[in-house]
Amino acid sequence: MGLKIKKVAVLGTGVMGSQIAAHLTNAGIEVYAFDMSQEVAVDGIEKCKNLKPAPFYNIKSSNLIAAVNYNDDLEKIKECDWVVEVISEKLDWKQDLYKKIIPYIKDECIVTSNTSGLSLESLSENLPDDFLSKFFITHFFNPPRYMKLVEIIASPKTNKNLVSTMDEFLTNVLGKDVVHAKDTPNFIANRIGVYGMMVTLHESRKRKLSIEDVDALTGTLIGRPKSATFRTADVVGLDTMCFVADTAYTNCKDDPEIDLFKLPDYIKKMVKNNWLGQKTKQGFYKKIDKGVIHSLDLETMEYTPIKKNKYAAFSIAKENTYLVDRLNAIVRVDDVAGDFLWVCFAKSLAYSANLLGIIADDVIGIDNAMKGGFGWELGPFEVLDAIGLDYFIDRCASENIKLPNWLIDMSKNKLTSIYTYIDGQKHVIDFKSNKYVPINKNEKTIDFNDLKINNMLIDKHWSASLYDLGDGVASIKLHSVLKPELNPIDGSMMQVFAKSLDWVSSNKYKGLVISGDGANFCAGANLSLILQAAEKKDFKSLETFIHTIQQIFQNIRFADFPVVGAPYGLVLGGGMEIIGSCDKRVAAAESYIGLVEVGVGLIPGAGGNLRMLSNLSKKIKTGLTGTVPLVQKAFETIGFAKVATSAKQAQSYGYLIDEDLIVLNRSHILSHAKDTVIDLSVDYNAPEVESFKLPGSAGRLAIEVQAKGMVKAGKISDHDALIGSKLAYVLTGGKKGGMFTAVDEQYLLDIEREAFLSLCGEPKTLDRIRFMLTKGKPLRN
Amino acid sequence: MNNSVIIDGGRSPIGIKSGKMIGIRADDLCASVVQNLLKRNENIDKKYYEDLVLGCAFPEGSQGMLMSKGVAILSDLPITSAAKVVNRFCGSSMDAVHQVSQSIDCGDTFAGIAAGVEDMFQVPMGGFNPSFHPELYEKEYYIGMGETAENLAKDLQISREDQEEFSILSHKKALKAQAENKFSNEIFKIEFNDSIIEKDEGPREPDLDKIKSLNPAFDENGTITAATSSPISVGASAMIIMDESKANEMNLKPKFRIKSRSVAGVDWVRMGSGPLPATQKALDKAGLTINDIDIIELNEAFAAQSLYVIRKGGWDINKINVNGGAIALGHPLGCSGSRIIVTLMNAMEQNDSALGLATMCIGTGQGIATILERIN
Repeated sequence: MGLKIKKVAVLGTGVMGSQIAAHLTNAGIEVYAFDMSQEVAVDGIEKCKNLKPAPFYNIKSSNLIAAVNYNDDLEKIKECDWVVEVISEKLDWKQDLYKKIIPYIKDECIVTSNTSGLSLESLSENLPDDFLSKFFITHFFNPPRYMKLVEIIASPKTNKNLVSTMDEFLTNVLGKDVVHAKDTPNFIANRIGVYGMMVTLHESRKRKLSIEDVDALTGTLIGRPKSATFRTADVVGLDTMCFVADTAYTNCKDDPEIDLFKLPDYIKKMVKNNWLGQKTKQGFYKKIDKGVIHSLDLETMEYTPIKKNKYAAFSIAKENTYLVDRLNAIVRVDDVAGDFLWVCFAKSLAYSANLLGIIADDVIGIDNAMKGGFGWELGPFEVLDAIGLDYFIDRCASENIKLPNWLIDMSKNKLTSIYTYIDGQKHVIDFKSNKYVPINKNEKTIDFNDLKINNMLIDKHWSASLYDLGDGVASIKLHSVLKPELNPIDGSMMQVFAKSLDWVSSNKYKGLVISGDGANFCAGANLSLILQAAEKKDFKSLETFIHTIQQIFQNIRFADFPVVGAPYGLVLGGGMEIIGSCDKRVAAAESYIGLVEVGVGLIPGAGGNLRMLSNLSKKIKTGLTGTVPLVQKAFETIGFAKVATSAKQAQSYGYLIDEDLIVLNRSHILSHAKDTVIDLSVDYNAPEVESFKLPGSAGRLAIEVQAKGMVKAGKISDHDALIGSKLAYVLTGGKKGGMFTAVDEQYLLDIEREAFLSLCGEPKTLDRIRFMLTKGKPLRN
Repeated sequence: MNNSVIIDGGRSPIGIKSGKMIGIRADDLCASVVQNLLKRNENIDKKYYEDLVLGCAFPEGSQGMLMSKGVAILSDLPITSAAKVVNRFCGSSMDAVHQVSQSIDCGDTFAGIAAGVEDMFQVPMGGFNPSFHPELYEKEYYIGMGETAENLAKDLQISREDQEEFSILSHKKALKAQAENKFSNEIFKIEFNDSIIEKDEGPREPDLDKIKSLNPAFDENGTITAATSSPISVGASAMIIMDESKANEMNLKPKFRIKSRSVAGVDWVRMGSGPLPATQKALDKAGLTINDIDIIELNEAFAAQSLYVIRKGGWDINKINVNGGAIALGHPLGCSGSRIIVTLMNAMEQNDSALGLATMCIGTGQGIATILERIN
């Protein structure tokens, strides 16, 4: 035993196959990408390189893919540990292909199909048992790099060891959330997801809600992706949506809700008109002109200007930062939107509950499938807990929504939630026994909530808290009180940082991790605070604020124990500066790191410039330190506010260094970070103060000439150039800089702070900040 | 005083962005041209080449370490051949021609090789580690080349349309010359990365819509676009220069005499006007006027800059760049000076011209010129 997946054959280089190949290379796996002919295979991989959003972390990894073809290269399958078939959904084609490759499959190997519409049973027909022991379904979601879910469907004939090998590989190496599904039509996520979509369509029509209102109600407001209902349909394409709904309609014969999968007339009409969405330039929405989008009026079937109605749900959203509270309140609102949302939730939840045991063995499977495959923030049963079990059951009863017995029994047994904590461990209801059972967790997953329940919370503050991770490692968790989804840096966080450093030191802990568990690590400084002070011309307190942050970050850097940053999601501005001050970083692969201060008319003010110089000096070892190319790279990266689209890309930009660890599974970063602290803590010595040889004014002028040229060419504004000159001043070492006069960290911090503050006095900078705060995007002035 | 004559000259094709020559080493490229040139003139014993003078505008990185001697070694010149690198930015290799010619004229040497090369992709304009003087910075010494051309365009109100017409003509002339094999005597094919490159990569059928749609490249309110500027490129050129009487003694039948040479300085924020005073000096030395010149190679750094020289100098546009210029062919800085002389020699033969002028502008505010006389 001990199949290790090192080389993979991907059969089919279409949109899905090529992207699966790409994601394998993201994890450093070698791939043979097969197709009918060499040209088709090469073309498929080439197209994949240009897809948006990017399937590759870094386009360079595409050289791990060898494009090959079935005619010349079947021998190569003998080298592969996993063969994944991703060709068209045609049963006979798939079966023919399996027969063709069978002679080349090595003894210890896994073969899977990525089918979404065919059953494992039909795929397996008339194939030899030896093959079937290696064969099952791995169902990825599009785009496979970004969608976390992979559904595994195995048969009794499948070798269980191979299934668990695959489970581990997908989870630990590819960073996926694996859900084991049963061999039923559309498996789990598509079954429930499409049902939810159809319910939304029907219920919104019943209430004559407009396209834009439905999208406003069914997006981030309720913890669903921003594209909500109709915009998602436009992106996916109405033809594809119809295909999936039709599959459900044809295959789910026993489904009591089958009628719902029948497509409404207006959709049929749209398909007939070729209004398929993005691909035909019109669907539920149509771009009329630059920046002008109209929506389809389903009464008249004409495109009309977007006008959004106001519903109580929106004000509830403003009052409730946390989704759980929001959902609880929204379904109780007595207006058309509240009623609509309640019915959509109730029917979907009832549908999921009724299918338990048929499509999945437990509620976690269904919750994880919807979170990983459809980007829901909470799974159906977590939503149920948010709404309140008793309320849900009572209201369903009064509205004649049929629920399974196990759910009603829960209420009788005085069980009030699907999930609960017992003795510090998270439990979930087992629908068969109506008893709570403990949840088996991946050993690499550390959950702050579990720690809290287990009294591992050391100190709690508004926007950050200190936790005990066990084994002598502590962790700061960022959780902004105002914007937990973005975690902007505020005073509360800084207090916790300062206190935590003392705590770790005085309690002789091994070290500290800085992380969080929301959508994003930290999207930068609290701009409102900066704006308020700048508008009042209170530069004194602004200076104190910046100075304090700089000092705290330097204290992190020079603490007598290791500090490890564990970022994920957006890591912008101050977020980058936090992790930059750590000894090492354990970053989720999906980390989007950038020093973006220029967008709001500023430059990094809490050590960002210093970190970039330090990181790039380590990276560009060939050049002499302090030469212009190094400074130039830092200048361009910060000056153009470049945001890396993956942790790997962040390494090439210099936001991360090559020694930093990149972990594909977001849920595992905390545990890796903890291990890293323990490793570093052995004979730990704080780093020495760095000094830099920088080019000084001679190099600054060389950079400024380019900026001047760009102003003249209309590529950047005068204000950009002003910011650019301040940035160049800092990065070239200010007045002291020069090839023979090294400047130290403190000097760089001082001139950075000075430049930051002077920009805070610029009206155009304040305009940029105001614009960002109100419009959420940068102003070009 | 002696007279220097050009025995023969040749060049590589000029490569542009995304072309097949990207990645070739400048020294290899130059050596390949020199080797081909030596081979074509096998009758001359290599030991006569006392010096190889190589023009290069940014002699650092892959173009550093006194590349000329490296090229001499790679070209199988004898160990006794000396070598130097000359830098006069865009005028570098024309200056190399001048230096070899001067040393022959004064009797220090009697034969030498003048060459030029630039790989603008591996060594960026400005070099790897620029370091600017504050006072010169204030005086706009480091001004961008495009901006200097915008200044000229403004001075004479040279319209964008005129510049575009000039550039389109450059491409059309070059395409025609390619079709008629006019470059067959001057270009030595290059083998690189399993492909053979035989012609310049720049010339192409102009896409009018594209040209009209471009934004100004250097000044938002200006007239110069990427289409009316010479492209970033890579290329090499070389020629054999010898004392006229020695050449006759050896029965080499030289075809071109270097009649006069000159350099001149101008205001650096209008560096593109450099050819005017430089040409005047060269004409004066040769006792000629511009009307005596039958054919002209004027390096097309920018269409606006070329039109400025043509209009201000009252030059006959029909005599200029008959086989296309740098806007179409490319302008690998250090290569261009001897490249346009090589092109000039071929054009003079093709058009049976007696007197030819090669001239170019130089960043930092200079001009350089060479007048050739055909020997019958």
